[in-house]
Amino acid sequence: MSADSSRNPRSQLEHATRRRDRRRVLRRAAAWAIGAPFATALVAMLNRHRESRQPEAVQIPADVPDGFSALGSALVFRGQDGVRAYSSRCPHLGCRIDRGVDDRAVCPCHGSSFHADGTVATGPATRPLVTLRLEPDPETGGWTAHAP
Amino acid sequence: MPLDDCPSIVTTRAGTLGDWAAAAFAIAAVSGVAVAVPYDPAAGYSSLATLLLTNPAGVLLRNIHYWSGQLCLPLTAAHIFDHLRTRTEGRVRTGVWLRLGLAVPLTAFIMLSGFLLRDDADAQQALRILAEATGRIPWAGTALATLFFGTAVQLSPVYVHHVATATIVVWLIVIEHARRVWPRTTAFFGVLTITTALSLVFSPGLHDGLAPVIKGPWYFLGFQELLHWSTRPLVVVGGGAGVVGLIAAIRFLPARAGGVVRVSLLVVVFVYAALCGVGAFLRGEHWSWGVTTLTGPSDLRVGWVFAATPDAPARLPVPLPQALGRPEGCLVCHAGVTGLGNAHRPDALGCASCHGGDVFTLDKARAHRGMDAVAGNLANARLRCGQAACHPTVVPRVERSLMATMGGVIAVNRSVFGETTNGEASRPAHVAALGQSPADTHLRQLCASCHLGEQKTDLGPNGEDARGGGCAACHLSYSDETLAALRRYEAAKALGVADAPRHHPAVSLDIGNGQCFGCHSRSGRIATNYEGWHEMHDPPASASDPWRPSPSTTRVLADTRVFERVLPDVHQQRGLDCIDCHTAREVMGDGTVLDRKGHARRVTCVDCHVTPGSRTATVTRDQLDPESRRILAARKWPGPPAFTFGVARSGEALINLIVDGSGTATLVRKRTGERRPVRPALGVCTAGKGHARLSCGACHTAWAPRCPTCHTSYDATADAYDWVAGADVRGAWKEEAGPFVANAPTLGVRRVARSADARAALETIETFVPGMVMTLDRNRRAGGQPDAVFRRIYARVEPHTTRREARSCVSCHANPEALGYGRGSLLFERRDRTGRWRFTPAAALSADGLPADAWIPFLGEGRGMLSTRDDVRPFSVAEQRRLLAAGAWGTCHAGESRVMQDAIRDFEAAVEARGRACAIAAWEP
Repeated sequence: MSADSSRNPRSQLEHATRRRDRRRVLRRAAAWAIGAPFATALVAMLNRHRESRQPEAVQIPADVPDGFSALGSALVFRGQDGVRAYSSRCPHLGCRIDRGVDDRAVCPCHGSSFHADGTVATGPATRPLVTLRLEPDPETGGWTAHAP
Repeated sequence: MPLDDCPSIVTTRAGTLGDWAAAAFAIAAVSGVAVAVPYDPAAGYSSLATLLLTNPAGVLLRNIHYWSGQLCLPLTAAHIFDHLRTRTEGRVRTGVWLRLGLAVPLTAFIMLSGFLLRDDADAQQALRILAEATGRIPWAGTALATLFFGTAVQLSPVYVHHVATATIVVWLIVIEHARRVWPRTTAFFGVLTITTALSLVFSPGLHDGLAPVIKGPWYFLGFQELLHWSTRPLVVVGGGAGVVGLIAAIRFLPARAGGVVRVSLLVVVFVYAALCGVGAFLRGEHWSWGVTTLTGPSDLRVGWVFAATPDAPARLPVPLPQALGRPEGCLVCHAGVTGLGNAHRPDALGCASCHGGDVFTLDKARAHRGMDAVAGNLANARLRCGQAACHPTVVPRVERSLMATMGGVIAVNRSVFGETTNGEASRPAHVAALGQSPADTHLRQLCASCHLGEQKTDLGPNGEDARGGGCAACHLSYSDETLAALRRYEAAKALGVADAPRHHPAVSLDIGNGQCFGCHSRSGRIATNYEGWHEMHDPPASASDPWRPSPSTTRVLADTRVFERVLPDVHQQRGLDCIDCHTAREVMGDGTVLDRKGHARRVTCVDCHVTPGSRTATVTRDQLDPESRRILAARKWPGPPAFTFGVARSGEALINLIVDGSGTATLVRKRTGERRPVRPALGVCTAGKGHARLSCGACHTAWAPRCPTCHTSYDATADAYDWVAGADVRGAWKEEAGPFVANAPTLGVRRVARSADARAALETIETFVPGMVMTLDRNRRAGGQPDAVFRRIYARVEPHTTRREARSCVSCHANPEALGYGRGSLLFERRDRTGRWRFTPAAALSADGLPADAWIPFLGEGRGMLSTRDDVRPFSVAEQRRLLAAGAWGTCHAGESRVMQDAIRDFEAAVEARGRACAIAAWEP
């Protein structure tokens, strides 16, 4: 480039603009490069924190009544064919189901109700209740369920 | 042009809408710093409850924080609308505009997170919903949900974001676009004045853990309504995000499109506001339709914040008394209450779970607002006794039981009045739904107080004239000590010097006969029959002195009725209470709606007194149903625990019938645990063809009260009290009683079941009394045409006058009342080896030609409507002849004689083998 052209105000402006754009791109790239590992660490920490939550052990007494009983994070149904346990977390939006009405479990938040077998009776829930495995408790004659 | 010079909806000396919104934000932030001191995020609910109970200044500051936040939201919305309307979005740089767009969801987050920090039942559910909804966002949702809400169990992430993250970011965005740091002074003081004025009187509530309605904050109710209808929550979440995106996009749209978006956003706002209104006022429990208000204890509480609490103790207890896992104000004044029993201890349940009221105040008037001094009535039993954590399955059963519906009473009454066909109601009836027909008004005035739905309004035990009371009708009992304390309290209250009462009646399974007495000493009088009292219609007066009742032979009830001593039931003499036979499932029902108490009955005589050759069915303790097991555990009887229990034929487990290895049964008195041996039925009870159909009561019922000539009339000009309406009405049904008689009951036949052979039916012979033998004029208009119907009806009864001694042969076989002919002379006129029966009635004849107290003609078939139930009937002519044929022998031979014992075993064979001197009955051709 001739000395004359480097002193041209227009080309000086173009140079300055390109330098500024380059710096901006480099700054942004550096920001992403530095921020990405921290963002990754954040997401990893959040996921691990979520996963490390211990399931809650719920004691179910031997004389749990007929019909639905709400025992914190577990929903227990005793019927003709024995005792079943479900997570009390409503499949709609996670509210805690805390009551049974006439042999159905009813969510207090938006009114979803579920049959004794956990299937949806009325919406807006579309998925059934999550079944919990019951472990017999020989000491009390009842059971233990682990609710996530 | 500087932003604050823009034309605006509201331009006052105090500033623009933006100034006001910023002022509200600042006040909320500053007051938030103050309330952060008593607030503990690890125990949010408890710390707030303590604040409400003990710290009026703290309540004021909390209210200011709340109201400034509530005002900030509509002010911000109006500010946004204001600027969109005047199209000033181009006056800020793109970056600033985009950050303003971010401020909208952040502001929503601040509001919602503030609600979550209440940590009450509403907030905990809201936390779960928000965490779940955020988690559903594709790709980044889980991380975002964990970042903002943690694991939706602890509140510390929410607390930090509410207090710091979102507040600081929003504040920076506000000062960036407003280009001023501190709010305008005039706007600040204006908002402060309004906020403080609201805060001094209106306090946001806190869910008491008892109210069944769960709702989010008012501005979120529109979302809840949409979430109720949508099966895809992400659509609703996306819709909300879309609205924010549209606001941000307005800046980049051409003018026309921007205008359409602006108008659309305004429409969306109005629709959303309407949905919020629906959610606030038209949605109740489980988000079902139902009108609700916003002024319950967990919503908005109205009252001067600094109201003096003269009734609170000068020094509050530390720590505050807890119930149901939270502080409860009731227990500060009502400390040390005894007498309730172990299952309903105040330190576990508090007071409000049964009595209602406001638990988060120490001001007496406010605390008692909405409180029921008398708890347990059926009207609110679902909210109290039947709440989700207590007895949710029992209350619906009781509501459907006969003692609540009066279904049997109503069906029978309508049948007598001719308002249903053949004694069966087309659908089971309910006392609350009684109409205005003659039958129903008759019940409304004369009978409709004897049901569980009748309110108990007075403190005190269920006396001899008690009515209703819901759960308290049976389960509330006063010991002598508690009753004395109540009388002292009432006396002190009359003088204006009463302290908070310290003794509470027991709420327990200890149900004595006195609980049943009030209602069951009416109608069939079984409560009084059981104890051996018969009502006297006209107490005799002494010839010379005014009549004085003798305490040993007469009894005057609280309603002034006079009873004379006759034979008590043998079970009563042995110490059995009503509940020793009548189980919980019988009395409270099993949820089935019935129209007769015969169908509710689950225990019969032979379940304890087994017939020869049979054994009691048994069940072990482990096999008991959960309710029986719990009742057994609660009873705590002394002595060694039992493992095997009898089972009634109905399948009902009888926890007070203990059966040992050899099959011997022992009955336990439920209230005391005392044991009684149970005798099996004797061989004579089931031996012989002649008595094969007899029920136990047919022989062992000693007497039943009869009132055959009572009269019911209607006076259209008189006034009466309508128990259902709770008011006086014009037009009165009047009852005049005839003489009451205590005699051995009449016998009749009941069809128990149809056997496999359709022609044969399983029948039993049971006890009956005259139900209605009368003319009923159903005309209810003064001076109108009579609308008369004659009834000759007998009713099946269980008089509860069982005796060990059975009736004699002739008391059935040669007794005109037993056979249904009415009182009179029934004689066997013998002529050589035959004889004829002759009957001469004692009562005058009625219009239909039969004696006034008869059921059927002598040796005739009953005609017309004979009973209100279609499964019962009097004896047929053939049956009467067989009865009287045996009765003829009873006039000669003693019941224990060999002749009569042979006759019982096989009458036809005995007739064949009769001696020369025997006469047999002959009949008119």
